[in-house]
Amino acid sequence: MRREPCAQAGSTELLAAPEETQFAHINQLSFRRLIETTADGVLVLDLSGVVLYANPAAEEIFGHSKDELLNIPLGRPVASGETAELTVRRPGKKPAEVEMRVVEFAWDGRPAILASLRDISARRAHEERQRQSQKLEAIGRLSAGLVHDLNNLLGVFDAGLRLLRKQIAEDPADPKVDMLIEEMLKRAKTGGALTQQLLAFSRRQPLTPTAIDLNARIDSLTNLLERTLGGGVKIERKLDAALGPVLIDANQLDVALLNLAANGRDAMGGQGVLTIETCEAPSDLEDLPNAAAGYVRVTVADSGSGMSEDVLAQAFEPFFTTKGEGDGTGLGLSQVYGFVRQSGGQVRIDSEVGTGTRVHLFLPRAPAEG
Amino acid sequence: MSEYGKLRVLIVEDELLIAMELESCLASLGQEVIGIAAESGEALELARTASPDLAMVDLHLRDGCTGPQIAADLIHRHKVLVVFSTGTPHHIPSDYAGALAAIIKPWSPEAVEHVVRFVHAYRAGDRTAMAAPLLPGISIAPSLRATLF
Repeated sequence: MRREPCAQAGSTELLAAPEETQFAHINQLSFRRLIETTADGVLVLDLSGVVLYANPAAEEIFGHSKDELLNIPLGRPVASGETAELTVRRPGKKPAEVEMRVVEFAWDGRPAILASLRDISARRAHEERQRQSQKLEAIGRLSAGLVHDLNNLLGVFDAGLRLLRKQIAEDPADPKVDMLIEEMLKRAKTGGALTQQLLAFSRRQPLTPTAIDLNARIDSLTNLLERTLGGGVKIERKLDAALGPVLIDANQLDVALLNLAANGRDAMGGQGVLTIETCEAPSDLEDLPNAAAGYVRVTVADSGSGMSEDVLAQAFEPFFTTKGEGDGTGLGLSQVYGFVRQSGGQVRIDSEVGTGTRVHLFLPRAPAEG
Repeated sequence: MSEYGKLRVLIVEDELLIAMELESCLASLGQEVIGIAAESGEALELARTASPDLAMVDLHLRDGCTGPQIAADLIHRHKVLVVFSTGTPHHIPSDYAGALAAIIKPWSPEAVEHVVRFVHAYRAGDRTAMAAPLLPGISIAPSLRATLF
């Protein structure tokens, strides 16, 4: 009685698992209901990629009925045992981000592929929101400096306009009138450049690793840092001019460097030297997933208080902070770590109490063109 | 503005327009500006050669956050009175580095007039005039304030 006739020809293989005795009391109809009810999409494909079976969750994910799916050759997207992410375009609905895992098995006596599909659109959307909030938080860490910069600029215009009014009342033809106007225009331009940079920075962008010039990126960011870290922080750049492009999301790199710079400033109590250095990374480095492609190193060093071993051990943990309540969220270094690891790179911190902190980011080189 | 005597004033400020306006305000109050310095070296050189009575000192200058050190040098080595002029009053050392007061940027010409009035009262030892109300953007060094109120 345990072996009812198969509800669908070919499902014998599914039931011939080692758990047979353990789950002996579950009948075949129940197994079928399991597959039909699970929230994950289940597809059976033959080796040429033609759909042989699709459960309701798979229909939902693809936005096509089972009958339609049965006629669509999907091809064979991934090797057995691997996980792939794909974007599924669906008629009349938003595209779905789908994670697919594949195993080989036999279906109806013939070799086939069993694919499990999971709609991870919500997770991806959440990650994007998280990146956006990390970015805004990094900008927030510079807000005191920005406010000071803008306040300073307002002071300059205030003074300039009062001088201008006085000068025009005395002698409008005096060359000083033009000089005052020119000076204010110059300042308005640099002030505008700063706000443009911030706007570009805070714009919502999808994560897209591209080949970028690390040194150029650091140069453009330094302008923002110089005006926001406060007058007590001197920024020194030691950039290797021969550096090739790296494959990284430029926006996230800015956020990471900004977080490291703000950490450095805080560790130095707002007074000291922040060094940003780039160079080729040695090719025999441990724990780098793609050593063949090669890596570039960027180091942000401060002349601050340094970290104890205890602090160092927890530095990358989300919400870990040495700052007082309300001063730090503890998400700065965890953003840096998350982003660099996700990009196929590695982060190393080199620090001792009293000697300052050096954070090294190893970023994957972009493959040579052509 | 003959109600004040004439002070020789050194302006230590790296923002050209702000320095120029301060100069113009001080001139219209009958004070004499003996020079404008944008960093420590220039400030101390002018203090040595032009012997000012008062220096209006910004905290953040071309050579960094050197205002407090300049103030200390001017006060102790050159016997100059100092008033800070700053947009970041929270960066003033707690002892004011020996300065009399601070004026918060952006200031108005009226606030500059109050500061000048206060410095003259201090030089004259006129405690009643020193205790006269000041505009909100001006703060007196805590140690001096304690002797007045």
